[in-house]
Amino acid sequence: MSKTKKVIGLILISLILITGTSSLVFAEKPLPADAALDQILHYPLLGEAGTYVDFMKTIYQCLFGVARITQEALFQYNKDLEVVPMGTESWEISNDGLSWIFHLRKELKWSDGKPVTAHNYVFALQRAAEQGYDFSWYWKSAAGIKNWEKVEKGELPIEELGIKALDDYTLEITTNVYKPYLLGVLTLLYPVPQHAVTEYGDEYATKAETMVGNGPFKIAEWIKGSHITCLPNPNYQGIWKPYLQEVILKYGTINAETGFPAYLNDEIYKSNLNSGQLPYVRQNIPQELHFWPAFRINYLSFDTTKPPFDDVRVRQAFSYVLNREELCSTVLKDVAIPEYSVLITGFPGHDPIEAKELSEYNIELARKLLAEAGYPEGKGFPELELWIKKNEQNTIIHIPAATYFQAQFKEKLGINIIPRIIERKTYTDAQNQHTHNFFFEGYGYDYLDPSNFMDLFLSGGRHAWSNPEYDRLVREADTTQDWDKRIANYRKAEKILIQEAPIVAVFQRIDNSVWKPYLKGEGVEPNKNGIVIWDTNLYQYIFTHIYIAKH
Amino acid sequence: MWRYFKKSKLGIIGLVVISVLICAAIFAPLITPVGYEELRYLNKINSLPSRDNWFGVDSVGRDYFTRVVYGTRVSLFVGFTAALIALIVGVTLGALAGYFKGIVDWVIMRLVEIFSVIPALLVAIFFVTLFGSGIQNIIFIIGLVSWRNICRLVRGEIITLKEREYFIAAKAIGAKPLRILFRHLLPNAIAPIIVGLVVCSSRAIMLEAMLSFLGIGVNPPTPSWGQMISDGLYYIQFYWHLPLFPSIFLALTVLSLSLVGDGIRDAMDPRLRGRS
Repeated sequence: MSKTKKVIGLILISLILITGTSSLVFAEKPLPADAALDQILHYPLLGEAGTYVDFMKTIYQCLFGVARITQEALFQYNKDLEVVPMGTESWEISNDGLSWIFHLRKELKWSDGKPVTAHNYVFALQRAAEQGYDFSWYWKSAAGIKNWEKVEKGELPIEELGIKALDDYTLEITTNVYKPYLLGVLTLLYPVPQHAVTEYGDEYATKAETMVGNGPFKIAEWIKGSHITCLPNPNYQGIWKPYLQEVILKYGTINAETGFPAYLNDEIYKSNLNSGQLPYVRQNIPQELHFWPAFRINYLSFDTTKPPFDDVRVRQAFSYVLNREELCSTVLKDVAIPEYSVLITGFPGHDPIEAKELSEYNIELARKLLAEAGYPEGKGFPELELWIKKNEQNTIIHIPAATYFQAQFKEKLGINIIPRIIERKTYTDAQNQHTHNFFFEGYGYDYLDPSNFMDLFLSGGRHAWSNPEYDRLVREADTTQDWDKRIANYRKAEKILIQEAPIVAVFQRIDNSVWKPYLKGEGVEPNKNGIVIWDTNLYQYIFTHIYIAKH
Repeated sequence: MWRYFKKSKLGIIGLVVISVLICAAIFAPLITPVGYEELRYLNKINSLPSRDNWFGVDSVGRDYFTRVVYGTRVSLFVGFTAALIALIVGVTLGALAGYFKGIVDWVIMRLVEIFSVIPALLVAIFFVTLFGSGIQNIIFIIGLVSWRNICRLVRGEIITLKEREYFIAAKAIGAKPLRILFRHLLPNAIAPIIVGLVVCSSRAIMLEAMLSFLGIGVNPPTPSWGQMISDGLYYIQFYWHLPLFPSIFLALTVLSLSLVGDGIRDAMDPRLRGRS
């Protein structure tokens, strides 16, 4: 007996020693006084269908939840949505405003100990342009990288791309036109470990063993279908060091239907909610409930080159017939707020009055316009399929909303539409090649500037619409430095967009989540606008600015 | 036959349930308070069953009882018509295969085997992708993937019947093959055909529900149980009525059709008659 007791005692002591020392080793920052002994965060894995932990390889097949904390971009957003320089210390801009020089931080290292250099950033964009990148429009239009299109088509050699390493720690980025908001755009410019790609190919980012990152965390274990464990990256020398000692990202819990039961069971510390779970949460755990605007516009989009949507009156009728306030106070209660234009509530450049006046609910006007267009009471109007992109997280909002549209169009305009959920590939192909005429779209912000949404509707993009005056105004605003002048031009362009109605803005999603009250720290304290935002663009900030309190 | 059928208690229960459902489907407009696509209860979204809304309200403010009842209409209509199509295809091919044997039989049986190897749902999904969804397409597609059982039953039956003396007699007096098939052989094979029809319709109902569950069946806003279950699953944690009622109705329909099918088979099978 005594021998067994001794053995057990020894085991216990060694366990205490091991856990004690491990927390000593990994505690990068001194923990606040109320912190719990174990800093292990259990969290739902976002984007689990993704293969690559590499933003610069692919956006749509990227394992977002891991990439956001194991990779670090040149700039990142903090909770006040301010752009914070991560990979660079200082920068200057040439007199013509086209060329930016970034002086990189020299102490930064990859998780395998190799230094992060300017060549890694150059390689990231060169590879993307060369291989074909599913987010290529971003670098072509939003960033306006010089020669992007020509290099992508193979008309110019790769060295002509507007990104160069002047030396190991000096990066030069050249744009086509002056981009006053370039720093925000660069929150999606991640360096790529060229040495890992040379050794293992692009697949380096698909396994824990070969993965190399420059973020505050690194992957320790990757069990597909179960969980991914991330530990603090011991070679991380950046400015956002984490409190957490371990982050366990769990498969199959990102959707509210499976996530919330797991949350109630303490298996994960944060969960999304669907509209059916909100009443329960409000009643039972209101202190754990948080809301914030998702900056994600949802709109109907038409092919304006073909009937019936080549007639602007038809498109306007589709706008006037929608009672957005009713939709957002009933079917989408608590999960959406009405929007009348693409510059949505809370976003820079939002216009609270005029957009609404221009597209307010007016059933008589909608009927009149439709009749003038040759479809009195919907007679002769073709039956339309409303395409919705398949996406687990959005479907729960899109299906009820589309059902509402269907009933409204039928009842008020006499028009039949059939909502249909379409696979992502089929959907995006139809959208880019304009082979379908009616979509229910969503677009979330990439960077915080009106140009992010306004540029979407420039001619030649994914929307089958073009308007020279709109193009001129937006392009002019995009390159203006003076904020008031910019906004004035965006407003004018916005008005054209509303009146020409190639799209009909309907609502903005409101994100909601519950998280455990023992998640504390700056990351979950209200920002300067009094709200807490926990969205994917802020993952790196939040994961490095929270700790687990004693509970 | 009724004499034998009424001895099967389960068969009778099934018949009663299915008759009630058929009546509900026919008289749906009379027994439901509002239209199935009217968003009449926008202020009572997801509310639980009450005196005004017997089955509660769904997530976009429609009366759920109305939708479930109209769903009966869709399910039974799709089930029976699809089974009828399957019957026509299956009986024709089965009779040809059984009667002519040889190369005809070989081709038809290989066809049956192909359809048996690939799951019906997969084939149905394939056809829906090709031709699009919608109620007419769904009926045809389900009919096209469900005929193989009837075909095999009929073929087997014809082959046995061909051993009978009356067949030899008919052949001896020089009757044409088609006349023999339709006047002498098929009427005698009616028992397995009826059983096959009932079983087939319950499977067709199930298949329609599966397709609608996957979002590629009947187009909304036409109510379909499969689709209602699928939409309701999002809310199952707190609004159990949404997936529950259509599931109950779907289960009841399929179960009672199977019971009726069993009852008919027992009633028609002389070997089983003596036992009960």
